[in-house]
Amino acid sequence: MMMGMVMTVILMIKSFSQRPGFLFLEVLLGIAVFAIFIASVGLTILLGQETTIGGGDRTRALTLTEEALEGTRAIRDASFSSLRSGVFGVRVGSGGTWVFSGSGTTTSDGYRTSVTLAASGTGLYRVTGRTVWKHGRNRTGSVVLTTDVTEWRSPPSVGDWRTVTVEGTYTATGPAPLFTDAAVSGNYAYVSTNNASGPGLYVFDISTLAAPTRVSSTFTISAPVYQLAIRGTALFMAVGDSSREIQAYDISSPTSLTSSDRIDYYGLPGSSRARSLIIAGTTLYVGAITSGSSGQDEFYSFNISNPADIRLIDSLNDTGSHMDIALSSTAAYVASSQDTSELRLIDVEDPANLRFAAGGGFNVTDVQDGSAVSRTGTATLLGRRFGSAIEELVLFDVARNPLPSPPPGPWYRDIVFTGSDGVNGMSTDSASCYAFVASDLASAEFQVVSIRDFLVTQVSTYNLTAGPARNAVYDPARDRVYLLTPTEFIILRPNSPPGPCP
Amino acid sequence: MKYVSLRSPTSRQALMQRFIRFITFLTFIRSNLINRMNLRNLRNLQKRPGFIFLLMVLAVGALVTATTVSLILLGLAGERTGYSVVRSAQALELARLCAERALRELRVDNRYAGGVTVTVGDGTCTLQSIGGSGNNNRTVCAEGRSGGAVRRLEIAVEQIQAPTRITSWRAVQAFSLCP
Repeated sequence: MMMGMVMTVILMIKSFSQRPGFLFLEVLLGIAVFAIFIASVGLTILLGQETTIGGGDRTRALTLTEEALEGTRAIRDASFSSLRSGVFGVRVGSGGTWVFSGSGTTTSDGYRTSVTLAASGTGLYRVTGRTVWKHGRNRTGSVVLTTDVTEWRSPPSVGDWRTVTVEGTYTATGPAPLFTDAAVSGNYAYVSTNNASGPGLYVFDISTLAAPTRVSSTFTISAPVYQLAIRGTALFMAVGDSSREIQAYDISSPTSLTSSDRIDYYGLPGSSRARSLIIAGTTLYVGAITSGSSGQDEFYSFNISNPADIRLIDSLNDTGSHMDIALSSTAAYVASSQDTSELRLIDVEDPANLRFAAGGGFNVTDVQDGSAVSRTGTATLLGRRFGSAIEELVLFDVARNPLPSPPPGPWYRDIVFTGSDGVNGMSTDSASCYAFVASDLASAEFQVVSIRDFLVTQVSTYNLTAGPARNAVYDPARDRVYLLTPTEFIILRPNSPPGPCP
Repeated sequence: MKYVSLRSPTSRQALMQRFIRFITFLTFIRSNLINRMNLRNLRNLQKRPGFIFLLMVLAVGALVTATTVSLILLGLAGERTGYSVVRSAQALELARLCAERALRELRVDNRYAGGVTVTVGDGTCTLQSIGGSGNNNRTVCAEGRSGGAVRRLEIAVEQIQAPTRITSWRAVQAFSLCP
C-alpha cells in the first residue's frame, strides 16, 4: 500500500517535471497553501461539530429540567404539605414515586439538576428548575425553567362533622313549601319546593350564613319542582308540569328572578314525569317516573351546550322510576324503584348511545325502592325507603368495577327504625369522609355517617323540632350542609375548624 | 481472483510493474482523447500542463468549502434549535404558572375574574378573563411568552369545588374556549 502511494507521487513528480514552469518551490508553496486550507477546514468542522453537540447538550439538559419540574408537580399532587422551601434534587424513590433527594441529582454523563422551591404566599411555591453541565473547556452551560405550583389539587379540607351546629335558619310562613332540593351558585342558594300551590323555587342570599335571606320572593313557577342543577348562569329544574318538565332559567340576576327569565323548556313524553336531573359538562341527564306507555322512557340525555336550546340526545327505557342520579366519569348510578335492581347502572360514556352497563345494576335485599344515591371517591351510596327488615343505607365499593361486585361489601347502616319514608335525601362530602342523610326518623332526622374505610358508622345527628328532613345538600365550597324540611332551610356547620378526615 | 502476497519482494515488483503499466495506459488514453476531440480549449490546456491540476484543486476546494459551510450552518441551526426549544419550554412553564394560579384563586373564590399578566424573569404569562360563573363549567386560558416563543393552555373546568375536576387541559395554537 505504502509502496503504491510512493510510486504514485514519484510518477506525478516525473510527469510534472516534464512541464515547464513547475518548480520545487511551487510544490512547497502548494503544500503550505493546502495545509492552511486543510487546517482551517478542520477547525471549522470541529467548531461546527462542537456547536451541534452543544445544541444536543442543551436539549438533554432541558429534558432533565422538565423532568425535575414534573417530579415536583407529582410530589405536590401526592401531598402539597410535603413541599418546603429549599434546593432539592428530584428522583424516583424506592416506592416508585417521585421524592426530593439531597440538593441535586447528577447523571452519569455529568448533568446536575436541582429545583429551588420558594414559598410565595399561602398555597403557592415558585419553582425554579436548573440543570448545569461542564463537558471540557468549551462545553458548559445551564438551562433554567421557572414556574409556580399551587395547592389547587389538594383534597378539600372538611370540618369535623362529629358535632353539628345550626349556623342559620330560614323558616317559611304560610303553607309549607316542602323544600326538596338545593343548588348553589356564588352567594345564592336555589331551593326547590314541592308544594303544587307554592312558588316552586326559593332563592336565598347566603352571603351571611348565619342569616339566609330570601330574594326574588315574587318569583313563581306554579308547579312542584323536584331536583335542580346549575350550569354557568343557567338553572335547570325538573318540574311537575304536564308539558314542560325540564325548564331552564337565566340566573345571572338572582335578586330579580322572574318567570320571564325562563330561557327554554322541554316536555318529556307523558305528563309530570321528571323527578331527577344532573349535569355533566354540556350534557343534562334526566330521570323520570316509570311509565308503561310506549315511547315514554325513564332516562334521558340532553345537549345543553346552549341552555337556551335544550336538545334531546338519547333516551333509555326502564321498568322502574329513576328517583335520583349520581355520576362517575362513564356511568350514571340511579336510585330506582325496580324491585330486582334498586341501584341501576347506565353507561353514559357516549350520551348519544345510552345503555345499561353489563349486569344492569345491583339487587339489594328485599324490595324497598332506592330513593337517593350519591358518589364520592371510590364509593357509591344508595338510600332506600323504610323497611323494618332492611338497612336503608347501603355503601358499595366501586374502585375496581363501576358495577358493584361484592365482596368486599356492600356495607349497610340502619337509618330509620320506625317511620315510613326512610332516606329522603342524601349527599356526601368531596373528601369521602361523611355521608349526610335526611330521613323521617323522629329522633334524628339528620344523620352524619362516617364512610371512611367503609365503616358506615353514625358520628352525629340533628333532631328537628318539626317534620321530617326532606334532603341534606352538601356545599363543598363552604363545607356546609343545607338541611331542607317542609318549612325550613337550615344551614349546618361542623363544630371545629376544617381539618383532616377523622 | 488470484491473491498475491505483498510480503515477497517478487510479488511487490510484479505489482509495481502492473501499476506502472496502468498509469501509462491512462496517460495514453488521455493524450489520445485530447487529440481526437480536437477542441481548442483542451489544446490550450495541454499547452499549459499545470492548469488542469489547478482546476481540480479549485473544484475540490470549493466542494470542501461548501461542505464546511454546511456543517457550520447545521451546527448553528442545531444550537439555535436548542435555544428555541428551551424558550418554548419556558413559555409553556409560564403558561402553567398562570393556570395554576388561576385554579388556586378559583378555589378560594369562584368569582375570580382573571385578566392579569405576571412577569417572571424575561418572560411573561397572561391569564385571559375566566369564562363562566359559579362552581361548574369554567374555562381558564393562559398564555406564556419567553423570547419569541408563545405557548397557550386552554383548560375546561367541570367543577371547581371539590375536588377540582378538569374536563380538558390542552396546549393550543389559538384560544377557542375563552372570549
